[in-house]
Amino acid sequence: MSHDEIVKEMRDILTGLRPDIDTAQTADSTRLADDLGMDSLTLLLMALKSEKVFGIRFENMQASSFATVGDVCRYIEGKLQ
Amino acid sequence: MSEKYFMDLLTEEEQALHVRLSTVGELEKLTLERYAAKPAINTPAAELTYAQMWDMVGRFRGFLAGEGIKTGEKIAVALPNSAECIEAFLAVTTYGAIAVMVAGTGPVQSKEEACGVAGCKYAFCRENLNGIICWDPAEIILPGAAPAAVLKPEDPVAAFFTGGTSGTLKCALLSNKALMTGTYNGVFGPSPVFGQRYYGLIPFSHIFGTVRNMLTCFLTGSCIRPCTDMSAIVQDMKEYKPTLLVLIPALAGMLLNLTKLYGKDVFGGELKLIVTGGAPQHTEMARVYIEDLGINLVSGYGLTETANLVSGNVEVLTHQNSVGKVYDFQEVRFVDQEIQIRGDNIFLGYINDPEETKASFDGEWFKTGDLGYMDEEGYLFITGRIKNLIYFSNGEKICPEQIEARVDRMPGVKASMVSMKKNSFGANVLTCEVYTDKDQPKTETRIRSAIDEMNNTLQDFTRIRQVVFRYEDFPRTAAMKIRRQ
Repeated sequence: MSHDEIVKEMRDILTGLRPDIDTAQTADSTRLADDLGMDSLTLLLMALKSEKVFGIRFENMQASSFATVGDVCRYIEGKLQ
Repeated sequence: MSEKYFMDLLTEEEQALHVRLSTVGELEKLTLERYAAKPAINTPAAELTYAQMWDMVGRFRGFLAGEGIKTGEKIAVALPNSAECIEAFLAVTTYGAIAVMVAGTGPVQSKEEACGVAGCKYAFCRENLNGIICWDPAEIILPGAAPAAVLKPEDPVAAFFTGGTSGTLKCALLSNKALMTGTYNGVFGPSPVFGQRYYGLIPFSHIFGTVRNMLTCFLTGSCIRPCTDMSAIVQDMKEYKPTLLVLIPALAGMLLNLTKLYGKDVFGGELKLIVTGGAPQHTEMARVYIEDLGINLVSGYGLTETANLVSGNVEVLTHQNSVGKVYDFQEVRFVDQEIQIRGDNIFLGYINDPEETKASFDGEWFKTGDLGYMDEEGYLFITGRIKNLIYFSNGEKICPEQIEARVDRMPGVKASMVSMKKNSFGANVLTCEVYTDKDQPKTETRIRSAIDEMNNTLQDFTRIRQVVFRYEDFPRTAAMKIRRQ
C-alpha cells in the first residue's frame, strides 16, 4: 500500500471518528492536536480503528508519539513493510 | 433533605450496611472488620485485599513517622492514578497530615506551582521538584507499619485544587467530616452498590476521582483498578470487567465511540452503571446508554468546595436538565439566584488565601458562584455558571482566566480571552484571542513565541492550540470585564 493510499484511508478513519471536522484538507503536515483537536482518547480511537483497517498492531499509543497525520501514516507504512 | 428518596434506592440489606463515618481512619477500621479478605485494589500485575492494602498504608505511615512528619503537615500526593497514589493518599490522611492532591501526569513546573500555592515542603512524586523533598514510592524503603492517628471529624485532612470563584489557582482544604459526608452520599445510586468493580479513570487529583470513585468504592467494599495508562483502557476493561464507571460526561461520550468500534462488550460485558459529574450531562447521550446499551446512567452536581456531592439525578431521562435532588447533611438557599450551601460537606477554606476564603462565604453559607433554582418537587436546576470553566474529555477542567492572566503579562498584549473555538478544520480547540495593536507583525510573532513557551509549561490538554489576533477591544460588561460568549 502506497503512502498516498494510507493517507486516503486515514482521511476515512478520521471522518468516521470526527464527522465534525473537514478531513478533505488533511495532509501529512496536518497536526493532530492543533488542527484536528485530537486528545489522548481520540488518538486511541484512531489507533484502534487503524489496527482493524490495516491489520497491524500499534505498539505505542501515547499521544506524544505522534504530532502529525504524516507521523501516523509513516508508522503504519513501516508496520506494513 | 432527601434522605428517604436516596435511601429508597438501596435494598434493605444495603441500607443496613450503609453507615456514615466521620474520619478516613474509621474507614480503615470498618473495611478491615468487614472486607479484610476481599479485593480492594486490582492492577494487571496483582490484586490487593483490604488487609494487604491497609498493611501497605500502615507501612507508608511508618515511613512518614521515620521522616519526622508532624501532624497537620501538608504533603503533596503528585502521582498518576495507581495503587501507590491510593496508598499514599490513605497513609497521609490517616497519619494526621494533609494530603494535597496534585495532578500526577503534568509537567514538573505545574507540580512545583501547585506545591508553592499550597505551601508543601514534601511530596510523593516520581520526579524531583525544586525546593521540595520528594519521595518516589518506587524507590523509598518502607519500614514496619505505624498505626493510624486518632483524628477528629473537624480536623483538616485533604486539599484539592480548584479555580475558585475568581479564576486563580486555589487549594480548597477539607475536613475529615466533609470528605466522609461526600463519600456517604456517593454510595446512593441504583442498587446494587456494594461489592462492585470500579475503574479509576478520573484522576485522583480531582475531588470527583477521590470522593466518588476511590473512597466510595472502599466504603462499599468494592474493588478499584486504577487506570495507569489511557491507552490500556480497552485491554483493562476486557480483563477487569468493571461494573461501575465514574466519568466526566465528555469521557462518557468518548467511550460511547468505542462501542461503535467494538460493540457493548468493549466495557467487558458486566457494566451496569455509569455515574457522571463535573459537567452538565447531555440527555441524548444518557438515552443511548440507558435505552440502546442497557447501561444505567446517573448524574450529579458538586464542587471541590462541597466535597464533590451536592445533588444526584437518578432519573436523567424523566427529569432532563436537572442535576437531581440535594443530598442530606447540607442545606441549599438561593440569593439573587446564586446557589449557596451550608452543611457538613463544606470546605474549611482556601490554603494561604484568607481573602478569597472570606469572599466565598456569607456567614456559614458557601457561595457557589453557580446560578439555579429548585422546582416544587425538590429537583435542582443549574441555569448559569459564573466560573466560565472549560471542561475536557479527560475529566479535567480549567479556568480560562488562569491562562489569560499569563498571556496578559506578555509584551504587546492588551487583553486576551481563552475559549473553545473552531479552527480551519472545524475542530473545537482551545483558542486564545489576543487584543493587540494593528500592523505590528513582529509583535504578533513575539506573542506567538511567548505562547509556545508558555504551552511547554502546561499540561497537554490545557495548551493553546490556536491564536487569533484582533485589533479592537473585546465587548465588555458594565463592570468592564470581558463579555464571554
